[in-house]
Amino acid sequence: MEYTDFFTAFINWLLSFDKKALILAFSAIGAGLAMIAGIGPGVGQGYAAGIGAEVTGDNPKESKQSIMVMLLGAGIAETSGILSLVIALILLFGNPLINLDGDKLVLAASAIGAGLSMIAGIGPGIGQGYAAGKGCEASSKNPEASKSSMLVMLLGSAVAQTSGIFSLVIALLLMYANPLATIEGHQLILAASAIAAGLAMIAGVGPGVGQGYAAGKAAEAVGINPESSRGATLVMLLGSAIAQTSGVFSLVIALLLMYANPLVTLEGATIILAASALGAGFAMISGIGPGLGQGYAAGKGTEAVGLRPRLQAEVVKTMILGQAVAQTTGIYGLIIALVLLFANPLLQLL
Amino acid sequence: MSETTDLKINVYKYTIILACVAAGFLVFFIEDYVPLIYGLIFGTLIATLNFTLLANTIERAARMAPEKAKAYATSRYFIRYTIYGVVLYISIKADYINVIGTIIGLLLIKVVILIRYAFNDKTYYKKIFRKK
Amino acid sequence: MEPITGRALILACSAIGAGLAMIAGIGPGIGQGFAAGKGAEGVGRQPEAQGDIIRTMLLGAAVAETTGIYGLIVALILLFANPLINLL
Repeated sequence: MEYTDFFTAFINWLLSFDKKALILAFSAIGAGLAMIAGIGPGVGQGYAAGIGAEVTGDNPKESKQSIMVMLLGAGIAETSGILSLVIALILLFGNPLINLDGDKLVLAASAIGAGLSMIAGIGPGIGQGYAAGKGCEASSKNPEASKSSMLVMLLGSAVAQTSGIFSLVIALLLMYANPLATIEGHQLILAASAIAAGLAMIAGVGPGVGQGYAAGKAAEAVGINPESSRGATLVMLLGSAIAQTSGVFSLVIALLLMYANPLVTLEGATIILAASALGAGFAMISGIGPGLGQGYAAGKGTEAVGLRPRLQAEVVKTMILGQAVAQTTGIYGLIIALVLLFANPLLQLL
Repeated sequence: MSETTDLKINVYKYTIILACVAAGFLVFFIEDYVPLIYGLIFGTLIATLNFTLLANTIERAARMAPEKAKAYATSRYFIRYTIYGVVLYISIKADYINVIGTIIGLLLIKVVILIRYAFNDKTYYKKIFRKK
Repeated sequence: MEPITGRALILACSAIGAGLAMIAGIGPGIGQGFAAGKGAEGVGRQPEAQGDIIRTMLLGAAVAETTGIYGLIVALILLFANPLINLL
């Protein structure tokens, strides 16, 4: 049936380009995708500056401390933007893929995968900016506790950077130590796997924003009630750790696709296997939701513990219960991804 | 009179110290360390410049009305972003600068912030993890 | 690459569709997390009401789950009970 061969024709057309041209073209797309993360710190720092302006207006005498806190917080918030910029510019001007051995379609797709992966940088950018704003506000309202609330804010912000680091690792692996380009197997499946790995990492947006929110709330809680700093920190860390789950699931799927690819050895129609890889990648994007929600829960839990530290046990119990429920849709996505990868039902239907 | 002057000087001091430590590490362990050192110096300088710009932005933004402050901070962020971009571009294109050195230099200042301000209070952490 | 039959194309697109359907999971994730946060806040304010708060929270979360389940059902149908290939 000739009308379905448009796809084969497209792939053959792509393959007719020489290796360098194909890789550089796809790298341009990857660079553009990576730059999307630049929005995050912009939004986050804007928010922080707004809060800073507000509290300075309300309380000009204490502004020194709060401006210090905001400066440090905003400095951390920039990191995701820089990392994305690094990946994008390397793809454009110092492309490592053109010198790698291996199939050109897979290398080109890896460039897109790397770009997609860096999109997750929006999360930490926004989250850490929120934390900076809240830290500044807490510092202004309670200058004596400024040091403690700043410490908690920075700690939480460091945690929020995790998703960005996972994404960076995947992107760098795809670019510098590409495991897929030299595997025996059909190039289309491997190329789709590279793109899927990048798609899966996009889920990092959720935990990034959520954990940043928790960090901000913790800073606020410590500002309101400095004696609660122990409880607030613990609850923030616990809640943030739970919020990281979706990010970890995505990382696992991405690493499976890259290092233990189950599809490439299966017998079956190539296009179904390639599409299954892509489907698995899309399914993991659902991790954004639980990441965000659980981070919000962590923040609210921290706030509650800050106000009444004696109730830590009950609050934590409720928070964890709610977070566990929120994880369900992330697990559904993981199940579909695993089914597509390891127990693919579509191949028998052919 | 700038509120953040002390903070800035503190951060610069530690950044220079950490940069020297990193440079020493590179000299000992890496063969071809000259491009890396150039990159490190370049990156550290630019990170310091951008930190200064960030400090100025925030000080000015704190004096503005909140909505204006947001727009101002965001627009200045993109200016700083462009500076990072130009710096990285130059580092990649120039043969005598190794881009990894520049990246380390740029990120060094973040590490300084975290080490100096988030992880420097031992008593705090002992208190947090005492009973766990 | 071997020429693609119509059947193979449909199955391939079903795989992608199943993956896209799971993106619906973002909604309940955010919503249930929001409920969890508000639940924790409520318990913090009134620990005696913990039982009621948790019950309400779980009830609301269960309702919020529905759209996520719709997405899961569509994905599972596309994978395990694919109706489209029989139409070919």
